[in-house]
Amino acid sequence: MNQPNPADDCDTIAQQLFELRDGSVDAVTEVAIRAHLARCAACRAAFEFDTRLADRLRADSAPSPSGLATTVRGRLRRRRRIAAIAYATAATVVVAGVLGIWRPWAGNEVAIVESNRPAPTPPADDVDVAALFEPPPVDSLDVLARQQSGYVVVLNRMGKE
Amino acid sequence: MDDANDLLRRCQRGDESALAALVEQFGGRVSRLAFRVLGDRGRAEDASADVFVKLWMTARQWRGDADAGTWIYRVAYHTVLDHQRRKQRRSVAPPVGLMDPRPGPVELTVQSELEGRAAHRVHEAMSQLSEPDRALVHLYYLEQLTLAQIAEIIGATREVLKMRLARARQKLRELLGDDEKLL
Repeated sequence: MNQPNPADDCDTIAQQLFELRDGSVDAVTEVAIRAHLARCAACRAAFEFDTRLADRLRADSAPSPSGLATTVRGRLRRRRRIAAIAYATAATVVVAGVLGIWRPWAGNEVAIVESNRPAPTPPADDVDVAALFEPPPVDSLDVLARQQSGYVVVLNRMGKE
Repeated sequence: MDDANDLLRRCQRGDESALAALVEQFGGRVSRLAFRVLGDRGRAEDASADVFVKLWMTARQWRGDADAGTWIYRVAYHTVLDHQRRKQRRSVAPPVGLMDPRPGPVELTVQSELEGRAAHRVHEAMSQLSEPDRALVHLYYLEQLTLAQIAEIIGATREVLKMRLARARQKLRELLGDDEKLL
């Protein structure tokens, strides 16, 4: 990387000038580069250009925006709100699933909802949302199905909002 | 002022005041890079805010092997270029130099007509570079990062970086022509 320049060609020097400037060139290579600069006007011009360009860019740099911290805080708050809604929705789905499938109140009955019994699926608009707030069904699969549909409707409404 | 490494470690533990301190320390540098690449103040501010949100979200990925400042620049570099790519996908953008009609830093800081012309020409020439090269020139010349730091930020080898910088320098010199002497 920082080898002497036996070829002493301008293309190599043009790239090594970046190392010379940032101080990462070794002593031997630095001597070789400076010797080349002393006799090569083109490379000297490139080196001087680097200095002038750095000065120019520094002079013209944009001021930092004043409200950046506020914007960042606002965006983080918004992300947290979205995450909270997503967690709440996921939790509701899990609870609804557990209540619908496990049915701990069903005593010694078969715990899994019978798959061969087609569950009634009323149109979304006709779903009885109040069924959500009914006490746990004791033995009625219809009430259970209505309850599940009610959760779906509520979740859909939350999504639209 | 707190050390950036400490601040980033505190961010990993969820300390939001540490993020605020990082915004304070690095906000200017990130915004300058964003403005240099995007060429529009509004978009630069939007991208800068995104940089710090992303920094917060990905702070745990920082293992401490790179300096925190380099890590922050890496997040900034990729986020800003993502913004530019998204913009390019949405529409065909005019050259960056023509995008911001409001008086920018160039106009605000000119002290003489000659200096103003030099500043304008440099701004114009920079806008002809590709966005990634513009970022490199900015990081090397203005922020004065070392080649090692920039190579780490952009994920390239030192040799590739030197080649790209040399090509960018050559192009800038060609674009500036005789005005190079005005700098």
